[in-house]
Amino acid sequence: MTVAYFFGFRVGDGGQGNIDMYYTLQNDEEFLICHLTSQGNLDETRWDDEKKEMKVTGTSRESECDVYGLCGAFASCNSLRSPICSC
Amino acid sequence: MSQSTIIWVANRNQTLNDSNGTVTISEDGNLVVLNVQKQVIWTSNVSNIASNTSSQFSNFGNLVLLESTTGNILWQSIQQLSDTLLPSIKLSINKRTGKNVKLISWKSPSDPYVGNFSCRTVECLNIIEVFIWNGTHSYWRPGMVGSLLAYIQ
Repeated sequence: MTVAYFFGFRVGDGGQGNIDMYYTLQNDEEFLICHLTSQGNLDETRWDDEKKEMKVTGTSRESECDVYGLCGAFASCNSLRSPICSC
Repeated sequence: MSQSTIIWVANRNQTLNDSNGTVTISEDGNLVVLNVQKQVIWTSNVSNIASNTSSQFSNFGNLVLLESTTGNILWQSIQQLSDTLLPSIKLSINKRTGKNVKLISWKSPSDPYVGNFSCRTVECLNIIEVFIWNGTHSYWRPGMVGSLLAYIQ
C-alpha cells in the first residue's frame, strides 16, 4: 500500500515489513535519476532532450547548514555568518 | 558533446588492472567479468542454473540475466544498487529483519570502489525519512532536491 504520493514519488508500507521509497516517471518524454555523489550529495539529474545530455537539476546540499547536527544540539546555523554556528 | 553517465558498475570492488576486461556468460550460466588472463573478476553468482541463460538490457537501465527457455529472471542489476536510483526502483528497509536496499557512493568521482556515503530510508516514530549517512553517522537529512526531497522533508 502506498501512503503518500507527490509528483511521482511514493513512500509507504510495501507489505511484509518493507518500507519503500521510489518514483515513477510521469510521461515518456521525462527521464530522471537520483545520484549519490562521492561527496555525499544527492543530485537529481534529468535528461535534456534538446541538448541530448543528462543535466543536474537539483542538489541536496544547498548550504553548509544542511549537514545534520553540524553545530551540535545547542547552537543554530547560519551559512551567511562567519563562523556559521552561534548560540 | 554529450557525456555519458555511469549508473551501475558490476565489479566496483574488484578492479581490473588494465582496460582488457570481457563481459560474457560463463559455462555455469552466470554473467561474469573476466580479466585478460580469463580469470573471473566478478560474477552474478546465481547457484544451480539448470538451463541456458541470456542477458538483456532494459530501457530503464536494468541489466537482466534470464533463463532462455522460460524467460524467468535469475538475476538483475537493480538487486545490487550502485550510487544511482532509477525510475521504479525501491529504496527500502525491512522493519522486521533490518535488511535494507540503499545507495552507496563511489569513493571518488573517478573511482567506483565503495565509498563513505550511503542513502537509505529510515522509519522513526512512524515517519519515513530519507537520510544520507557518512559511515555509521547520519550526515545529512535532505532539505530540498527538486520534487523528491521537497516531499520527503
